[in-house]
Amino acid sequence: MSALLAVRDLHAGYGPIRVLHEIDLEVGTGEIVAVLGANGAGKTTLLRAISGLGRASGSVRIDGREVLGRPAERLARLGIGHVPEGRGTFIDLTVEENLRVATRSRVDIERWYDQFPVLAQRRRQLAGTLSGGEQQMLAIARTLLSKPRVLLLDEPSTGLAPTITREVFRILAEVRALESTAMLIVEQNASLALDLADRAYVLETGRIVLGGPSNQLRYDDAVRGAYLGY
Amino acid sequence: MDRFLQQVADGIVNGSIYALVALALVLIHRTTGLVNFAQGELAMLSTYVAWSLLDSGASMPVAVAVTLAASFAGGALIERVLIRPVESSSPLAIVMITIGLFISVNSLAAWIWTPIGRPLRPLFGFGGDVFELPAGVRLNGQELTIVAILLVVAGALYVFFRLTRIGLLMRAASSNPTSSRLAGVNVGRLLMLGWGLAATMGALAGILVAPKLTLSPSLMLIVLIYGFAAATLGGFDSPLGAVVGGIAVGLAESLAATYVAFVGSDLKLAVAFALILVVLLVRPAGLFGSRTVHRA
Repeated sequence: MSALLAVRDLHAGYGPIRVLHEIDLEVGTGEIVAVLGANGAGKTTLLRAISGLGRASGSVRIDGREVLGRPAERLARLGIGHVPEGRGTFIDLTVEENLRVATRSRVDIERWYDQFPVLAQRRRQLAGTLSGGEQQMLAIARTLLSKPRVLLLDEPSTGLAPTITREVFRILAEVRALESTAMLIVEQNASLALDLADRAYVLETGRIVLGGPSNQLRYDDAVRGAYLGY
Repeated sequence: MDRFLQQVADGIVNGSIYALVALALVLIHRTTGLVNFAQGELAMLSTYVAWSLLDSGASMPVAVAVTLAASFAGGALIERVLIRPVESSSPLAIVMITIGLFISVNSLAAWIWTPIGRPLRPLFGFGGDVFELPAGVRLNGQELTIVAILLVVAGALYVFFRLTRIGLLMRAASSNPTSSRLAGVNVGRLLMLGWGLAATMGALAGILVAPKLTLSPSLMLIVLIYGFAAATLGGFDSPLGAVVGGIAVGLAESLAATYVAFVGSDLKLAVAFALILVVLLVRPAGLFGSRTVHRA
């Protein structure tokens, strides 16, 4: 069985600076995988390499098809949906215009309005006037409208109050239940990420040092000490 | 009073030209975040092309249509060939390229068509006819056409940006290029479209203004400065601002030249510079520009 998303021997960096070394990871169909790591471990670089925003060498396959080196807009159409760090909404477009960038289908937009009622209420508002949590939901809804095979989420909890973060994660779990969208989620809030994910990897200074089922990692002493804080 | 209204009408006519140039500047600034210093020279080149076609016997509509299409293609080509390769490096590189383009296009035109100015007949039959408007204002056909074309272009751009999908994608691409790419939008192609549209606007401005001045390689030098003033006043990221700014600059120029004794016709251009300076000091984002806050 080949994984939906398979990353092999991935190296990436910025100019002469190497950030990622020999990364191997997989996301199966309908699976949620978390990548835990401290600031500067290379989590954002990893997602940018997979979605075609950054330069990388090695191999990234979707359904067995090599996609590394293609431009980001092609990868988006091949099924990689990347919600970037800091949400990446179009702040001077309305909520509805943000969604229309991703799809021509009114029906699909209405369906996600049902899923995110707060966006429906604010559909004529400029995205820049939304709260952080609402912008995160808008970014997720917009990316889901492109019907990705695998959703890449970069720190969805950044800048959000704890209750809002929990709400975002609840919605992600719901999306998986409804759509069985596979997700690769990079997160500093290890406890929430492990609750949501089936499996997780630990990234330290650009290398994957540990990987396994979430339940197993949760009780790993090193993970507990470094990321869960107990 | 009649004299005042006539000055206002003349100001609106000139302002319409400045607005077209400002629209071209704004279209490129919105997508690349930079000013295309060669915008005026490209317009001058388009104008020469139009008159060369007319001289070789093409009818006016054919000459104008071919020129606009060629300008669109030329603008898109410049983006693809000259701007794209340096796009990700320093903004200064792009500025240098547009300045280099400015100098080369200017010299090229002087080399092909000689630097000597050439008076032009009106673009169309009724261009020279004088029309009596209410309150004793008199404008000729050429001038009325200029204002009409600005209104049509501004309306078309509004429809394009607000009501079409490609316009929405262009707004998205200028708001956040990275997120646009992640949504599957081919930003590169939209940039080419933006440069093509800008070159077309510039060509329109050049063709319309040339019969009022004389056609020479320096045709657009002064017009471009007024265009800069218009875009600065309106806000460099607002098409509506470009139109309002253009008309306002045209009015300021016309009224200051008539009613402020020491300005006269000699210091008219200083009005544009003074306006740029005041706007930059008082309200750098312009009247309709959005003030952006940058996070570290």
